[in-house]
Amino acid sequence: MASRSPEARALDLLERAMAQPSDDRAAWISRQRAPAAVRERALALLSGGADAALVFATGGAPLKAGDGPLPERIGAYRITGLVGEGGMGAVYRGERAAGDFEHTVAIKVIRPGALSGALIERFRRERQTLARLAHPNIARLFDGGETEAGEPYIVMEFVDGRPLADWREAEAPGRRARLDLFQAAASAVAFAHRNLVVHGDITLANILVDSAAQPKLIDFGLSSPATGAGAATARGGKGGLHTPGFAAPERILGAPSTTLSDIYSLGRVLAWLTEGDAADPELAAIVARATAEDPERRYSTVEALRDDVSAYRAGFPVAAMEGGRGYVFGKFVRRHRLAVGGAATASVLLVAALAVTLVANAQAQAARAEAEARFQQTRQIATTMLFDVYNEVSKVQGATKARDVLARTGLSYLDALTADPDAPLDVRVEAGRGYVRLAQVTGSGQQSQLGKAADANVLLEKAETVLRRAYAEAPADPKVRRAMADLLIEQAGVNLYNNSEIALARKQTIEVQVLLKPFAATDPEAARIYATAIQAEGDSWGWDGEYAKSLEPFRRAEAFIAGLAPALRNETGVMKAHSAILRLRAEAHHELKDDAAALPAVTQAVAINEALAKREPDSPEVLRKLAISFWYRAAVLSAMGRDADAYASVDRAVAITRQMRAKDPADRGATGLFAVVGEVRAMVLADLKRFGESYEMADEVLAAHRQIVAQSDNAPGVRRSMAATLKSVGGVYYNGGDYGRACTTWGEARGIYRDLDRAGKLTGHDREAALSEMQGWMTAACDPPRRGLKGPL
Amino acid sequence: MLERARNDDVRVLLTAWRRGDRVARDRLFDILYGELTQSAAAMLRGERNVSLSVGDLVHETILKLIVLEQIDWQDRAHFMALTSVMMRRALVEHVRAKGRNKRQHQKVELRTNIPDVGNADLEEVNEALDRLARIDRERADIVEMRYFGGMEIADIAVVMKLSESTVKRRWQAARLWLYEALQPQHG
Repeated sequence: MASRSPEARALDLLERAMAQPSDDRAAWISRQRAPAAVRERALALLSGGADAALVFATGGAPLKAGDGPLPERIGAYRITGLVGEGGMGAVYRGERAAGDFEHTVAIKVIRPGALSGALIERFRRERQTLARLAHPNIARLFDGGETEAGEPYIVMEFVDGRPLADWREAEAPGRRARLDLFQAAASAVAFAHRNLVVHGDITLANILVDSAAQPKLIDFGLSSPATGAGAATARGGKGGLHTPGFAAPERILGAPSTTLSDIYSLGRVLAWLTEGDAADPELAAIVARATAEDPERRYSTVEALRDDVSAYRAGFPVAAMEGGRGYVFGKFVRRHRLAVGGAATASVLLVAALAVTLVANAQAQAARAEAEARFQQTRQIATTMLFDVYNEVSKVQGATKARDVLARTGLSYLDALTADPDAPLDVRVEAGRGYVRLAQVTGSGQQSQLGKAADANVLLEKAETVLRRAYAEAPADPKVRRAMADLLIEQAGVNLYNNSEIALARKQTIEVQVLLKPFAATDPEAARIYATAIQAEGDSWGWDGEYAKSLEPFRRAEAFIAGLAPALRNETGVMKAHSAILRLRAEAHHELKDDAAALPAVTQAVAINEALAKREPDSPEVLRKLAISFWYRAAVLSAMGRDADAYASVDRAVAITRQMRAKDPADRGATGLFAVVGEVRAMVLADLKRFGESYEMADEVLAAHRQIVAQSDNAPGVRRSMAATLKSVGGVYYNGGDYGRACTTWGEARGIYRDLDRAGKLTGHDREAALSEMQGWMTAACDPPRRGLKGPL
Repeated sequence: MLERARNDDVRVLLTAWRRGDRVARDRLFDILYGELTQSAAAMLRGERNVSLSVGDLVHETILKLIVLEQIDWQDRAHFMALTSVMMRRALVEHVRAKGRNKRQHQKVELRTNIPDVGNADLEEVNEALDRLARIDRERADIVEMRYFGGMEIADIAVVMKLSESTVKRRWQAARLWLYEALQPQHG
């Protein structure tokens, strides 16, 4: 070493300093044993710092040569510089005065021969699609055209950044920053795939990184079909022949690019970004899955890859570690794709298979027309599945599982449809209606349902996002107004019956009436929803204990139905609404101690429902309504002291609901109704002094309530309902002389009321009537010295 | 296309270079640079109206050799190293030719985040690299491969028979030296 020149020794020293962390290098050099001149020289060189990396970028020389003359203008843009050159052609910086500010763009001029004629033609067709790809991590495409010399060019967002490899070398970002960057880049690719655009050439050079360490992907949809090993490896660098390996093996063999080949490339990028970090079996498994030789073994979507990276970072189990789950599913789907069968489950699987194909295999090189056709197909399938198929399946009692599968598959469709914010209005309205429908079957409505209230709320929020926007755009469009009304009536129902948000529910019912007013009397569906909205407005008062205020809306609804043309009035949906309104008006009279007014109303409701049951003998919905009207008639008769008539009526109700539960034990609607009518039967039996039978019924009813609470994510509405039942059942025990059970039961009810109160979900009626009355009973009957109540309850 | 005999020569020379014979490398370069000049002329004849860049020409030549299987794919790293030498020569000649054509008004603006020195003449870089080679030949070779050839660290490591981390540090140090050498006070 002694023979080396001082300059060479300064370089040696500098080079060894490079092994130190960047902040420590200067201090490290100063500490070394070397002639002072050598150390000073090394320190002077070190001060060049990051600028040296920028000046001498990898493969930077061809750029600096600036070979080839700069064009003065391209299209409407004045060329102000050369940004880079690569296999495909040159990228220039262009400017255009637009108003008060200069609009700076990057213009890529594609060298003739670099892209095939077919690709250029495809690019022309797809320019609109590409221009719509607005995502923070995608360089936006603005325009395109041809130069006078016939070279195609594209105008895109100017990204003040550098390629991924340069960024990593210059910034030496930590692992976290690198993984953040990967996730952002993957989200851009996922977004493109949802818009049916495949990148096709994801490489280190096509991922630029700006000063905020945000990636920007360039050259979406511009990849040419591979023409062989040479072509696949020689492209994609601004400077030299880059290491092959970002292109999927099937691409090198000449297959067109697909979402799966993009996933491969992303996997390679992930591997490159984590190169040099400590070995990690989970991350290695993720990379292995993404870059599997066989495309079918890769993640089926970019989202799945992103989710796995997120799971890995959060310390959750990584799907890739499980081995071929996705593979098995893929095979499963393929096996069933051809199974066009009659059974509902077979068509569900068929539909699921199409969903997977749509999302995973969407390819940008398919013509726009083809993509459009597929989009329409998705719409049609989603609509058919959620409305027609679901309705058919719903008619079959015991099909809860099939409905659950339908609901989950439907969701994947709707999410695919609404992922594109620029989708046409009617598509978005349809998707919004789909979400509402899904919420109904998942657990918001009072129909037969799957009983998942929390899921239903999420679905309704999705619907609201889509539909509010549509309504803002086209407030007069009847289709939009109807879809909006459907959503609001559903939300009102959820807010009223599940969430105890009564004032909000009432506001929504009034909004529905405003929306439908222009055409409420023109067709059965609008008439039904309109009447139902008035009914819900009345019921919102009832749920707050303001029964007197509910009478006016109920009568208004009845008057509206009476004013309809006979064809409309006798339509099944309108009749259903009519019987519900009569039943609720009866309830209000009953609560106001006016049973004489209640009885004719509820008797009319029973009559309408019996007529409906003749029309639709197997419909769970009609059976439900019939049971409810019988039950309520019993409550009214019981209050009038006609216990025998009451028993006969409620016994019919219990028999109907028992039968419904037996047919489908998972149907929460049937269980809930059984609990309600069973409670009345228990009370009537107690009035008839048949206490043994009454206790038996009461135990069954409480078991049903506990099941519902467990299935409903502890929704406040169902707990409130259980507390009311506990209160009544406690009364049955008290009247039967079982004071111990009476007090335990009331104690449980009080606990629920107090929990609801703490959560702000106790209604005025609960607090002022139900809870205070029950506490009075408890003070008299349960707390020492237990004076007892005056007479039976 | 290379003739058969010359093709065999290429293989022999390549083997010698892989064993460390730098003279073999220079002879290989002579053969292939001649090939480059020919194919450049051919391409320009074939495609009027097209401004092919020098970089493109070098790439096309190498690509052609690979596709024609006149270069063993296993020797990719060595051939890219050779490309780097060609690229350097071709670019410098191009810049000189441009200077002769007095096309100075076509000032090339590079990426906006590059400091002013980034616009230093490529000929100055070329001369500075020659000076670096006199101080330390290996470091100059690394710069040639990385800066002119755009080669990956891993490929350079294969050619230099060094570890990747050594190549990386050596490149970083050489880059700092060049940067300093191009500052105006040296000019």
